[in-house]
Amino acid sequence: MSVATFNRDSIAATYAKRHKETDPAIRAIYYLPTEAPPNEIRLVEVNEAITGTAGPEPIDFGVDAGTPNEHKLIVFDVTPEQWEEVREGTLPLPKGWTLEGSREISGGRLRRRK
Amino acid sequence: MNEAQKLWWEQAKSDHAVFVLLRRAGVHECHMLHYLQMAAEKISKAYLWRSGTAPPRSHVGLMPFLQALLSRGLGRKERQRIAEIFDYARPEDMAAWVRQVSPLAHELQNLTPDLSNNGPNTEYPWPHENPVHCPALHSFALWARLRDREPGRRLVKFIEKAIQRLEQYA
Repeated sequence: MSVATFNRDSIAATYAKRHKETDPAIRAIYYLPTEAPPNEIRLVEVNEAITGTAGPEPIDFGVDAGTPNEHKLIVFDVTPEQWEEVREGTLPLPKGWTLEGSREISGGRLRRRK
Repeated sequence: MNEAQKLWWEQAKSDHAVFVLLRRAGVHECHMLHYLQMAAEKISKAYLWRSGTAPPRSHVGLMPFLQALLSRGLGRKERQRIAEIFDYARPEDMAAWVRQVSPLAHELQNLTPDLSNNGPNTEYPWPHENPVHCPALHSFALWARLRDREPGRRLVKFIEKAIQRLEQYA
């Protein structure tokens, strides 16, 4: 009997596709696998509907505990302006996160970040 | 903050700490939603106790709390102060967000067995007379909306903020 193995890239793409389909305010989703633990999916979601004056904060969810697909999903929601600041290095990503090797996966497909 | 508020606040903090543990562990959705609903109910009661009289004993959920925070009876200055505590520039901005998330807030407060209309709830198999579903095996559409959409994630963060910052607005 074959045992299913966790495919992080594929699951990240599935999340991105679902999130983009259900939230029309999302402009782009970036997947940041570099330096992430093997079972951790880090997404930056650029969303133009975010209001308020709070700085962005990541939120983490455990998923599929006790299965071969057990993983942690962490989403960092930012406004388009905050995303520009992240790219310019004036707004920090969560501790331990890096844009190195990040990929845009807004349509459920992986693309290297331009 | 009066003594009753302090007691409800302590319980809200404890329930929320369990919610965070469960959310990070990725257990069955019913348990995460159960603790989130309980934390929201208790911070709501902690705030509503500011009048010095007991709020209704039954499940007082997020909506009465959110409405009380935005009540015109508080006066413009106080509503402005509360909006800023919750990271909104103006009460109107906070009110617009509350309108956006009110369906989620309603759904969360209605997850208790007595408010679930004999349907999906976080505790007991349903329907009561002839059970065909149980919470542990149910996939809650609400949980997907809280996890997979920014307004849902912001509501989860709002509840946390409401608990952490109660001393500032109680």
